[in-house]
Parts: sequence; structure tokens; C-alpha cells
Amino acid sequence: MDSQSDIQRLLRLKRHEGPPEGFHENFLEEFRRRQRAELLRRTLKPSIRQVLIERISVLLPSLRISSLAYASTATIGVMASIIIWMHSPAGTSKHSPLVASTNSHPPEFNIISATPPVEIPNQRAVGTFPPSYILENQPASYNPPLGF
Amino acid sequence: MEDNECSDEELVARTKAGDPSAFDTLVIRYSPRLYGLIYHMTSHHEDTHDLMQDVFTKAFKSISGFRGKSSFYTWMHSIAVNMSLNFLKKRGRRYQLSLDDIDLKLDKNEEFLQATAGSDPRRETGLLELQRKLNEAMMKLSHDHRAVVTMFDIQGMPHGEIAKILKISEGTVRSRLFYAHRQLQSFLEEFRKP
Repeated sequence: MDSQSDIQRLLRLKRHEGPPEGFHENFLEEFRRRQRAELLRRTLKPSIRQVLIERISVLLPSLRISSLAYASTATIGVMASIIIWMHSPAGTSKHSPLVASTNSHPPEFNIISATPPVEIPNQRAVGTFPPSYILENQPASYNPPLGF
Repeated sequence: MEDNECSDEELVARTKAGDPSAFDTLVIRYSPRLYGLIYHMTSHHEDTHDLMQDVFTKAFKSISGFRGKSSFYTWMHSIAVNMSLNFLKKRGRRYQLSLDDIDLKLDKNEEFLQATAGSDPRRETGLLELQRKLNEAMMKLSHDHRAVVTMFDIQGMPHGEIAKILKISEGTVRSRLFYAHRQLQSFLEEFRKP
């Protein structure tokens, strides 16, 4: 008999090796017990993600605002922002940031805000006073220094 | 139809549907065979017991992802082999046979008794010695070689099935077996029949 089959014959003997008596009967019971313990552990200690999802789902109904209302509110907010920006001086092309004056008299500065410009009554005679400087709605200190 | 008569596919479908008794049937059906597979890779009853629990727990948790591309038999064996190999790589300890690990039922097995009755009076071939030699020889193999020897020589699985379980080619299975057998030859020279 060759060595290969001898080896295989000896190895086949290992098929007869088995677990202690009663192993398979108790194995299923222990498996069920471990499953119940695992289920209990998961119930008592949910993952962080599960906690977050649960809290968000509880919070939303308590505010009595549907998810659709949230989307609508966000859309209205965005549209309002766009409209305001369109009416602001930065969003329009009519107003230039600065109109320089060549008159030697010190200029008068009128500040223009997002609302339509307010008419300032002219207290001096027309043609004798220097023109008003129209600037953006910014304090003077924010203006970049004039580069002469 | 009783659970014992249901096919693996039916039991898997019922388990996925939420029937725990279906998976219990699968446990009963596969635990003897998987025990043999894991035990002959670890040669340790206690480690085998713990690994068996882990294997079936993992199978239960993963069963929703089992698509049926392979048989449930192959799938379960893949889990068992992979977990055993990972366990052996992590532990990396030398095997030590203890009396608790000896299977004393072997003394009533005729085939086993014939193997111990050698013509050479000089050698002492008690049950304990033979099993120790076999287990030592197996543990001297690498994990991968031991896996193929366990599945082919001990459990009698065909090369194709082993290849599917280990996700290697049949040629690789054959070459590993050839190499493992040569190594075992030198380890078990004493017990070969003249």
C-alpha cells in the first residue's frame, strides 16, 4: 500500500473524533440564549445613530409642523433674500458706488440704503453749491484709502 | 411538512421572513458537520464550541444578505472556515493535547482499533498515542493546508466544493493537498502499514 493512501487512511480515522456527549443537544439551547441576550443588549443600548434618528422623529411631530411646511418656509426665505438683493444697490446697475466731485468745496455725502433714496431738501441756491456725493451704505472708515 | 423535511432554501426563506424555528432546524442540521470541520482545524473542543456559536451567530445576522448564488451548505462552510482561519491566525499558539480533548469513544471503533494494532512490537500504539500523533501532525501544517486536508481527507468533500468554499481554483486545492500529504508522510511515518 502506497504512502499516500496510508496517510489518507489514518486521516479518515479522525472522522470518528467527536464532541462530548450531550453537546449537540445543549448547543441549540445555548445558541438561543445568546440570541436573546444579544437582542436584549441591543434594545437597552441602541447605537448613537439610532438614538439620533429616534430623537429627531420625536421632535418633528412635537412642533406640529410638517416636513412640507419646513421646505415651503425655506423656499420662501430664499426667494425673499433674492428679491431684497435685487432691489439693493449692489444688485442693480443704476447706482454707482461713488460719484466724484471736481468742486473745491467739501462734498456733502448722502448715504443711500436698501430703501429708495430719500430726497434731501436743497438749502443752497442751485449752481452755487458743490454736488452731493453719493456713497454706498457704509461708514466712512470702511472706505478704502484714496490712493493719490 | 415537518422542518426536518424542508430543504435548506425553504428554511432560509422562512428565517428571512422571521421564523426563528427555521434557523433552529438549520443549526441542528449543520452543527455536527461544522463541528468536525472546526475541531479538526483547531484540535480543541472548547475553542470549537465557542467558534461554533460565533459561526451560527454570524450566519443568522448575515442571512438577509444570502442571495442563494451558492448553496447554503457552501455558504455556511465558508463562514466556518474563514472564522476558524482568523481565529487560528489571531491565537497563533502551539497546540497542546490535554486529556479532556481525547475522544474516548474511539476505543470502541473497529477501524480505529485495527489501526492501533501494528505488526511492529517495538512501538507503543495506544489510543492516546495515535490520536496525539495525528493531531500533532495536523497542527504542524499551515492553516491553509490544514483546511484543505480537513475538508478533503477527513470530511470527504470533493475538490470542486473545497475550491468554492475557499474561493480558490481546483488546481490550487490539489497542489495544497499534495504538499500537505508529503508533509504528513514524514510526520506519520511510524504508523504506516508495511
